[in-house]
Amino acid sequence: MTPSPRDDASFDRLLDGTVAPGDVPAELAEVARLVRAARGPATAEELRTAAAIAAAVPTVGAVVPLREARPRGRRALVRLAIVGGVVLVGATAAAATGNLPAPVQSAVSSAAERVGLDVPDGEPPPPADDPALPGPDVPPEQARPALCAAWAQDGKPKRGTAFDRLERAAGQGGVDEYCADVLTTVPVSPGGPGGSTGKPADTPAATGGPDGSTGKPEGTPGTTGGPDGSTGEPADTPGKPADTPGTTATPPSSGPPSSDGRPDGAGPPTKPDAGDREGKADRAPQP
Amino acid sequence: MHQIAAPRGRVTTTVGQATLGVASSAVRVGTAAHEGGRSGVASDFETLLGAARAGNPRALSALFRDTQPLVLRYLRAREPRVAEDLASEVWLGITAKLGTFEGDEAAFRSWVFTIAHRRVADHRRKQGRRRTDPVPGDQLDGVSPQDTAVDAIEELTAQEAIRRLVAPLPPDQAEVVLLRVVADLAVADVARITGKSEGAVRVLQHRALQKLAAVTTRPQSAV
Repeated sequence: MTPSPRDDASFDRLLDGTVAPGDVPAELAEVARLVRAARGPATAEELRTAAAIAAAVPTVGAVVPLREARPRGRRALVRLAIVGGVVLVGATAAAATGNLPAPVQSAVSSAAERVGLDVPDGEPPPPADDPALPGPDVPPEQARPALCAAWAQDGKPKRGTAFDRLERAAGQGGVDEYCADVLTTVPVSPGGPGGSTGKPADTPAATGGPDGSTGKPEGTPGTTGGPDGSTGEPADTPGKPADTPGTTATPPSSGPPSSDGRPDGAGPPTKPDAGDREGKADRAPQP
Repeated sequence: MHQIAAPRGRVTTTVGQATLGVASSAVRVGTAAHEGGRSGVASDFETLLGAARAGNPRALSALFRDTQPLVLRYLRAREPRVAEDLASEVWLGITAKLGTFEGDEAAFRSWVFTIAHRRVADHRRKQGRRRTDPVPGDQLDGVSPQDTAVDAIEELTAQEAIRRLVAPLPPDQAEVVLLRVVADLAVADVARITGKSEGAVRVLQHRALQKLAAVTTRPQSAV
């Protein structure tokens, strides 16, 4: 046999000791002898040394049985599930208060929406002067007759978000005058002004109708236009004069700053690396 | 009970009520009869391995005794001064992960020598130098073709034969020869352990054999 890269089988037989020294070319006979000697039986000295090592290694005889290794994996899964649950609850709670960064807020909102949770998506509220939408600080057109009817029911000033908006819609002229115009030009639906409760029964829910508060007003109706701190939005209803001087153009005090666009492609949080890096070099092969 | 029947090298181990026959280092004296026997003990090895994985101390001890002499030979060839310490570390690594091991005897042997190979690499990294440098054949510690010719093969210990096989070789060729001869690994396993392609491993072993042939060639009169 002549060593040749094209004779891999001969090399294999030589190296695994399956060929006798007399069956190989003369130049490889000694190599064949050395190979067979190197693959010889364990000597007494090797066995003694192996026994000494076995005695010195405390884990010999204390290998972790397979039946115990599997529950360890299950425990790791349980721990991972607990950690994941805590993170999910925490993220949802933070998202519910709008305290997450915009991309994360949007992602959590989308995920929570699928399970029926109402979480703000971090988008800025629509601008108050959007002509396509009713402003947040004035009652919508269709709710004004009912609100005015409720306002004028017992002649006492009312408090509440809806009435505050009504005051802002009325402007300097006052609610009484404003409502007089509303009630004379728009017919009130049955059950509205004639109701005994004073609540606008047919007020759309979106208007945020009277909240039932019967508390005394903190400010006179004549001083309209003063921001109550809830929205800070001036009453710039078209056709109505601006509020009292000095209260105009108050910038919004609420809403997320500089959230000027929906983040797209907000991916899920990075998964934790659950790989056990310990003992990577010794990882048992899994055929 | 652990018995060794030399020179055929079949180790018979009694674990509990079961008698397990396991191919050991002694088995790997290449004969056709032995090759036929190796496949016959595959299921025995699996039984032994299963018992060891289940924590049976006798099975584990038997597995250790069958494996450790080979590991010792390999480590003594690569890091003779710390071979036994490294062997302990290898066995610690085996016992730590044995519960998750799945495979046959060849896979187990490959896994064991993967650990041994990496323990040597870790040791050398800590030492900051490589000790296995190529040594010209004519400068070997009393080893010469004439010595080899004079020695009777029966008087050679396995470790001495290994030393003569790898001493003339560069480190990469020596590693391939060690894993092929001592660990009895296939080319694919050697390639995986050393991080080389199978083709590169075959080239290395070819060059190693050429080098060994040149170093150990007997005088024609001695053949």
